[in-house]
Amino acid sequence: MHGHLKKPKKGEELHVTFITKEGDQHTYEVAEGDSLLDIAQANNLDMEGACGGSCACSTCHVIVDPEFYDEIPEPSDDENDMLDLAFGLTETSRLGCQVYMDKKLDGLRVALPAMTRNLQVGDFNKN
Amino acid sequence: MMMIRSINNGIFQKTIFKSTLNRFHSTKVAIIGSGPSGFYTAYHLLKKSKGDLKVDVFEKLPVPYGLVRFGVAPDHPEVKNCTDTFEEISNSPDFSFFGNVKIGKDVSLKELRDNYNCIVFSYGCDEDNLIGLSKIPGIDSKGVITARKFVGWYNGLPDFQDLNPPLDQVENVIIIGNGNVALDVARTMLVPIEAWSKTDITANAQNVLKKSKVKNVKIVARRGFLQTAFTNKEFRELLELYNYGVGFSPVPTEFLDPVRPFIKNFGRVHKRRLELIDRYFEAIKQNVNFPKTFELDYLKSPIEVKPSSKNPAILESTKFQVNNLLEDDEKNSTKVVPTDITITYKNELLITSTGYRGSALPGFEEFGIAFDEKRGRILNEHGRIKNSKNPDSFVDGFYSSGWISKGPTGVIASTMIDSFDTGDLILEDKAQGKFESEPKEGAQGIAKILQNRNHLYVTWKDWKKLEAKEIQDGKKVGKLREKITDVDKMLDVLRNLK
Repeated sequence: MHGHLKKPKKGEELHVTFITKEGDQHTYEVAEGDSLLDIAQANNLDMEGACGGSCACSTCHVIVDPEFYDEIPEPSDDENDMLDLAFGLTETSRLGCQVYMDKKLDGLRVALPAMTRNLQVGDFNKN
Repeated sequence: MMMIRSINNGIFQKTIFKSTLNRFHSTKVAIIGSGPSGFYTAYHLLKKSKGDLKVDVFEKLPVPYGLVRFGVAPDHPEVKNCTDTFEEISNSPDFSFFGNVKIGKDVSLKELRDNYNCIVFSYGCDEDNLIGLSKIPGIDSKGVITARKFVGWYNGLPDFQDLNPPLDQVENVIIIGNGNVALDVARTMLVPIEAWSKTDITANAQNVLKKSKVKNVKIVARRGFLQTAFTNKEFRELLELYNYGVGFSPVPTEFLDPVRPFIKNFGRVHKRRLELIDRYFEAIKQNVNFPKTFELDYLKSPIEVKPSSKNPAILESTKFQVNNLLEDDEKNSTKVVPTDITITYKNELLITSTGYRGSALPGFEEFGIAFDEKRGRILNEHGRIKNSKNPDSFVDGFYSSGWISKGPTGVIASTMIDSFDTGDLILEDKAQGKFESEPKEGAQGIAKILQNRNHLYVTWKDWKKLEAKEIQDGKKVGKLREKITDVDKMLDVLRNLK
């Protein structure tokens, strides 16, 4: 099941910030290897994961801060197939179930898409 | 003085009493249909409400989940994981399930309306949208099957269990249509039988597929490559079948070459689709000896179906007319223009996969619920239902979500979003006090009606018992589940357990 996260080892905490549809920012301390879907669900953010994190739907779509996008390994064909179907797709869109935290991604920022409206990259600059 | 005070008190008490009373009664919502749209609407309502709302889901079959159970292909179990979410709400004390209850037959729409503050139509599309096909000579032949029936058959939909397509007598299949359902059907006919051994495909379908002699599947579209409706996921799955000895013929250059110069203007989906065709063809072109193949064909519409003179169960051939495509840049659409050129393909089976449509429920007229007969869906604006007597107004207390509301396109994720939108609309209307009329009985009222009629309905607990049996039966043969495919049998199992 989802939503179960490892506890990060002391001194090895990684940080990730989710920006909600409303513009709220939530930063969490997480462990290496946690997926963005698991982190979001463990923290009760509005992210569905209808297929249970098996890369078979697009309901865990996130928009990655362009600064971090290239640090994430490229999407597989499977993920691209699903991104085709995501609402409000952007150049830096990914599926939350396919992005796993690692040291390079410490400080990662992702936005949850408004499901009926395109989110602009500019939304990252609302500090 | 005394007199006035007592009158005042009276009024004061009465007002307090009424609003307090309202707070004791939760808003009762009835949802018709237990597929993804019904369940996601229910899920959203229960998740976002403040515990002052009860949701009951009505299903005409004894078993829930609609197209998750009867539409999604058996080799896509991960797509069916959305039922984990549906299971979550089934534990809520504010949720009830009424299976084996047809609205308009076992319970009238009027009776439902009398027992609920609001009603949501989420019952999907259960008819074929044949467009012009029904006028084609020979289309009534036994060797012509709609994809809806074929899919229902292998997925255990009770209505179609006698279909038994004559696959043991068929080598060449033509599928008309270019949606995901067309590709599901093609894949089903082409993958090796072992692919099904662990899935929840019906035992009957397994037996028929085992004896299948299908060698070639031709998927024919009325329009061109850029107008295809299937998703790249389904397409790539078909391309990947070369790992199982299923090759594909190159898409004729006449269909691809004209679009290649415009690749820069393509959206992501078409760019990837063309790239997939090229990449996979490169991968298989060394090997030409595939025992089975599929091919994609474009710009053709069937005009005549010829049954076999020797064997009425199968066809001899299908005749097509070649189409031209006119681009209308202003409307951003394309128009199919038939030519005089025809072409005849030899095929023993024709599957029509040209989409679904919904039908109206008995009682719509009585409530003024507008139904678009042409397109087969409820007329609505974002889930608010239009009044058939006055198209500028809406019918209070009625909503729609999913395919019966938006039309039969999109994957589960898009239905989910549509259902959430309808859920939000209901919650907004509730917040504005639209449902604060007299209290409604909800599930209890309906249960009473059904009991009085001696009508056996299926509760969620009952379904879990049926499901346990299906899973247990599946285990015996190494499958995910062995579906019960007959309504009477489902009910018998429950009677015996009671």
